[in-house]
This record gives sequence, C-alpha cells and structure tokens, in this order.
Amino acid sequence: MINKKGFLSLEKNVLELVLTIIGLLLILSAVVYGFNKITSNQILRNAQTSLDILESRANSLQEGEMVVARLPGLCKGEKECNWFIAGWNKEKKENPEKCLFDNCICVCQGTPDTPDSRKIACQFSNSCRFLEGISGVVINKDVFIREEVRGVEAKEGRETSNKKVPVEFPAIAFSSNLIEVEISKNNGVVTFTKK
Amino acid sequence: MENIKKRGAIEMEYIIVAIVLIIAFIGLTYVLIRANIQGLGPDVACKLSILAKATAPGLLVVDPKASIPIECVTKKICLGGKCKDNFDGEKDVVKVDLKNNPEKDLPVIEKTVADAFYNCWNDMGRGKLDLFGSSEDAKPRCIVCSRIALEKNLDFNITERINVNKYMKNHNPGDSKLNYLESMGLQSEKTLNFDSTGAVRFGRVDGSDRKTSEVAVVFMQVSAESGGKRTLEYTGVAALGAYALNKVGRSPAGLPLVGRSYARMVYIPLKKVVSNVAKSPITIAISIGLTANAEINAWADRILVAGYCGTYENTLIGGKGSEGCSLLQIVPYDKYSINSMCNIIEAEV
Repeated sequence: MINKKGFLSLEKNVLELVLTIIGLLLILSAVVYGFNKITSNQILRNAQTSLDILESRANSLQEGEMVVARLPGLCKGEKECNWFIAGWNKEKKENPEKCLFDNCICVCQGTPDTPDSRKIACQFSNSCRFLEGISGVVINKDVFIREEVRGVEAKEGRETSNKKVPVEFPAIAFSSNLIEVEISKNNGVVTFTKK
Repeated sequence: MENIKKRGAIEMEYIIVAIVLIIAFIGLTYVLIRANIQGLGPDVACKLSILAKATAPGLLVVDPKASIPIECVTKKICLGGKCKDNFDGEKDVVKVDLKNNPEKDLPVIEKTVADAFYNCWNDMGRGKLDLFGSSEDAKPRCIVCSRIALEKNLDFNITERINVNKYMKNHNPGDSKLNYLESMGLQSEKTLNFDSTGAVRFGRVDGSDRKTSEVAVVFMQVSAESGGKRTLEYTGVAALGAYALNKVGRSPAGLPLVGRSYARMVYIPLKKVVSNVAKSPITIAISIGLTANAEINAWADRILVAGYCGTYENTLIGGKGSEGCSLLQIVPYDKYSINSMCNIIEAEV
C-alpha cells in the first residue's frame, strides 16, 4: 500500500514536471514564432520605406540637381546581405512585369548577379515604383562580394576554396547599417550611385 | 478500487492540464501572428519589446533573445516645419513650429533635442539592459531613437547658440525635481569633467553654410564575449573605454581623453575595458571634443555622450548578466558618423 502511494506520488511529480516542461517549451516556441513573423515584417517595412524615399526623391528632382538618400540597413549581420536596388528602362524584354511599360526603381531580395536573377528577385508586386517624367534610369555598378571557386575544384564538384572576390553588378547593395545613394538627373535620365 | 479511482482522477487532471496548455499554445500563437504590436502605439510597443528582449533568456539552444525584434521606430522631428531635404518620402514626421526668433526658438530646439536624448536613454533601460545578447562577432548594434532636422532657412544666429548640454544641466524634464542629467542617473558634471561649453550644433561650416542639418540620437550596445579576445573597432566604445581606463588611472594607448580632442577609429580590447569597470559599473555623461576630424568639426565640436559599462542587470536565467558597454550619442545623421558607431542597425528607421 505504501509502495503504491509512493509510486503514485513519484508518478505525479514526474508527470507534473514533464507537462510543465512541455508547456513552457510550447509557449516559448509560440512566442519565438510570433516574434519572428514580426521581425520579417520589420525588414519589409524598412524595404518599403527605402523604396518610398527613392521614389519621392527621384520624382522631385529638377534637371541638373543631385540629392543624397540615406537608407536603413535591411540585413541583421548576415554574412551576405541579399537586398539590393535595381532599376529598369521601360519596354525591355528583361524587365520584371511591373516595369515593362514604365521606367522604374526597385528594392529587391535575391541575387543581382545576372539579368534573369535580378528580374526574378524583383518580380514581387510591392518591389518596384514607377519614376515619372524621365527618359531613363541608370544604376551605377556597386561591388558585391562573391566566393570564388577555383577551376579544377569546381569541375570536380569540390568547393574547397572560399576566397572572397569583389564583383560588380548594375545594382546597389544594402548592408546592415546606413547606406547613402546619390540621385542625380541629367538630360532627363535619373542616375543612382552608391556613395 | 479506491486506488484505481485515485489514479483515474490524477490522470484526468493531467489530461485537462495538457488540453489547457495546448489550447493556450494555439491561442497564443494565433494572437502573436495576428497581433499588430504597433497598434499599441509606437512608444508602448517599443518599451514592451525592449522589456521582452531584455528579460528573455539568451543561453538556450533556440535563442529567444535573438529572435525577439525591437519594435521601436525612429522618431522623425522637423524643427521649423520645412525639412523636405531630410524627410522627403518619409512618413510620420513630427513638425515643431519655430518663430525665427532666437529668444523663443532656442529653448524649444534645446528642449526637443534634450527630450529625445532623455527618452532614448530611459527607453533603452539606461544602458543596463542586455538588448542584443552576446554574439561571437561582438559587433556594435544600434537603435536610432530619433532623427532631428533643422529647417534649412532658419536664422544662423539660432543654430550657433544651440547648447543642449547646458540646457540639460539647467532644466528638469517634465515634473522632475532633478535636472535632465540627474534624472538620467548620470553622475554629476564635476566628477565627469562635463564641459559647460559643449553644444549640439547643427550644420556649421565656415560660419555660414549648413552642410549637415540633421542629427540622430543613437543608442549603441556591444556585449563582451566571455573569455573572448575580440577587440572593439569603433569610436563610441573606444571613447567610453578611454574614459573608463582614465578613471582607473590607466592611459589608453596614450590617447587624449575626455573633454579634449579625440581621434576616431581607435582599437581598445573590450575585455580590457570591461574587466576594469566590471567590479564597479559606471554610468557617465561625458562631452567629447571631436576636433581631430575636420568633417566632424564642421558639424559639432562638442557632442553629448551618455554611457554605461559593466554587468547588465536583466538576465532571468543564471543570475548574473553578461558584460558590455552601452552608449547614447547625438551624431550627424550621415553614413560616416552612423556607421563608424554602428555595425548593425536594429529596429525600424
């Protein structure tokens, strides 16, 4: 009888402990999941703010004028920040759908390495804004850091080299802190250059 | 028979508790996904997220501290009401009317900057809360609490005379019986070599041109990696470290200290700084002359700094918090000034 009571008591304690731990873990994971959702929204909000600033400054530029736009970081210390600014002149095949009929500026997440990858990264409907009353958009090249895979190793599928090399693409890279973009207008063409 | 009944009753009890926990989990998840924490108002949301982040344990396999975002949004304040150059395309800009009369405008400008400084320091837990957790890279992380811009066409006699440091010594925030610095928990000016001539100055170049018309109130924090050999590669903490080392009677690599010219980008090992101050955490207000750099000198030759170095007070698990340094500084809002202080900018700008 005593043994049974002892067994019951032990069973109760163990069960209580297990349930408490499971409960705490469930609640903790819910909180973490919820806050993660909010974090990604925060980055998207900063991306939209950047786009608002670029659009507004470019549209209010007078001929021959130059302004500097300061844009917030869109990355939180990742090794490579995959947010960038890209722009398209209207009526080009390689443009994202939204930029087919108008010049536009975009803030996109992805890789800017090829025209196709830039197009894919900027396909989301909220990524781009039209620039009004201009004849063209130029995005001066910015430096992106890429890992170089040496020839023989690459052929054999072995990626042993992690030498980092600077590569230029017609896009402007965001970082984890402030970036400055010079926006100028000459002969109707708006040019974006990273300072 | 009674035992069987008791066991049945106990099992039933656990099943009910389990069901309640599962319902609570589902409910909480739903609420968190659907919740618009910003709907509480930006200030409340900011303070709640700071508290949540600071009190979250940071040593588990899944790091909740790292996952909780800081829901603070940079306040944008336009002194004079016309700041298109600064805030074009940005939302929620607060306009503060000025009369273009030095006697009336000076206290308004100084109060605006002082309040931004004071509120940021208090909202961020006076630098004593571990907001970002320790990381391997020991990168300085920042929150830009406010951006304050001055209308372009304002009388230069006004901008020349702005002296926030002095204002904070001679005025009290709200209904407080203490002045701003005392209310912020900062030590007295005498102890701190607080420079009474210090002023926050808006864009002053050759006495006429205003190259920079915008300042930012930036809170920075960097945590020490326990046992690590990382060095801090950055101005603010270097300045704070220099002060801390000076306090304990050591020369920080022959650098000039508080109240004098101070070179940027100085390397001071964090461990060294923290180990010197950890036994008696310090909270300080200092005025650092940045005359070594012409670019900075063009904007401001005295900048107010509040700082804390030592053990953080917030960790719920494990008792003693981690160590690090926090710094609050008013700097020009440009890439050079912000990025030399901040490796990562958190929150919404």
